Amino acid sequence: MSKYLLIFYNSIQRSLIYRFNTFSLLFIQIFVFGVFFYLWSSIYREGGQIGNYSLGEMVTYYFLVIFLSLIIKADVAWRVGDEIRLGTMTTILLRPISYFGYTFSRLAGEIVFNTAVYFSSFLILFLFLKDYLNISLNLEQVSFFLVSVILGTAIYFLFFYMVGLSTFWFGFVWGFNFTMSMIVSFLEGAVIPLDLLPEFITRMSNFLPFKYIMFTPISIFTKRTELTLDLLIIPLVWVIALYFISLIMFKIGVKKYEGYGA
Amino acid sequence: MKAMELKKTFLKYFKIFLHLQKIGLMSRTAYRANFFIIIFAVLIQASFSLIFIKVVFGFLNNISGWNYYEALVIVATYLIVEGLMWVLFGQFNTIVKQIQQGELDGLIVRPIDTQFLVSVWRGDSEDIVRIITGLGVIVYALNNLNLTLTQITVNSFFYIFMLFNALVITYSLAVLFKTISIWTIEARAFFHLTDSFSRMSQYPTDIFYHKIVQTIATVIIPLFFMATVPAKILTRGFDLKIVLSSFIIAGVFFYISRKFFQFALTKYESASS
Repeated sequence: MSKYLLIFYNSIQRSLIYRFNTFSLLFIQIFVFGVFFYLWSSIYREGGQIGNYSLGEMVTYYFLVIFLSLIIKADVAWRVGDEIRLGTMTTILLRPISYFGYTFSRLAGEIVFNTAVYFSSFLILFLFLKDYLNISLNLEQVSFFLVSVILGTAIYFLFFYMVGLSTFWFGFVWGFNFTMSMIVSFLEGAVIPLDLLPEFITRMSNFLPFKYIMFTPISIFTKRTELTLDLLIIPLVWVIALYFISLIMFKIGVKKYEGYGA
Repeated sequence: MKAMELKKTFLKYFKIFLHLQKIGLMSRTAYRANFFIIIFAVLIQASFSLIFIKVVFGFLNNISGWNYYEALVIVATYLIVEGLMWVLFGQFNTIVKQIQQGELDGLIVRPIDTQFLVSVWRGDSEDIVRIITGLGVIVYALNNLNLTLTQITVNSFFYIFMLFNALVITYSLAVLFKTISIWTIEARAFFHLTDSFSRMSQYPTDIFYHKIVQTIATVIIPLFFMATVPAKILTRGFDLKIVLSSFIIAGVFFYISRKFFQFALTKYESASS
């Protein structure tokens, strides 16, 4: 366990080195949020309405999309893919650690660092925007939200970990990773809230794990859904299923690994 | 005599550009499956912009005075400018890699303008689908707007100039931000920064109802001229003030970015030596 804690700790240290990058990303996302804020505000000022969303709900939705994107979206597939393609995975395979544990600990370190930095920044932003945001929380809702975010993060990590592992078969997955990122960002509700999309897309998203990455946690936070255990059990089942699929993928894929380039 | 020399220089640069484009296409198609997958991904990305507008207009008739078809022209303009940035200049992304790996040394010593060489060193040919999609959307939108053939012809003439200015502004922003990597070396965030500025230009800048924000979006980060202005000229006709401002802003941004790049080069410390 202590070796994974060390990887976790090193990951935080590494994030500290690239703090310029971290703060630049924060600035960029605040800029993007600013544009969306004006877009929705100007629509609602002119008397428009998007679905059954109030201005407060819409602004809060994108506020949380940006916050969650900053926290959970690490380049897992890219890194795993590169380690396989360039043969650097060999150095990890030769050590007495599991590759999954290594990748997960590294990501967990980044998430903890990002959460610390971005949570405080968004708290300040929240104070400026509190009149526009639709936030009234109770303990049960916060607990559901936190568990839901953890499960969503796990789904995101496991899915893109598998996309990265597909390098064992395809050799180069830049295009595949990019395509999947696009599709997932749409189906998780980061582009448009899923309940505003045509019904067949909403229905299709019920059979996929992606809506639990963003849409479900945000719906819990904004009280747009009733708090039932289904909201946590279904993503938990997905996490377990994806975990076992990723283990099988690794077990089969690593047999194909040649470590060239190392 | 001077005209001859200018023509010769232009031809030389054009040949280099074509040659690099050819090499780019060959290297991109080396992983053929990956190449087609990326084309598919680019198409998906472009379609999201259109779906977003479609969904929003499913609930509204206009956004800050822009109807659905006019808003489509803004999105299409963004797609074309974005596509041109990728195809012609690879979003100026190469500079970051060249700096990190010390490859910029090899370009500086060549008897050709360094900024030109860095700009056209990499072109992502698969992004041509963005341009094609954008053009298709413009044709569709114009068909549905009440414009006469003469209006479309005249407006299109000025639109091409506005599109060119939008490209110059977007390119200049990319040069300004990505050249900073000469000092910072690690500059992943700059990829996202220019991409975000460009992406946010796909919404009409009339949404910025505060005067100060409107000024920022016109002069400091000129989102206004990156898609809204070309779309305005194409759908609503010639406007002298806007057209002149577009040329001035494009000229100023290009000049500043050029001077900044040249200044940054004097501070370049090779990472390889």
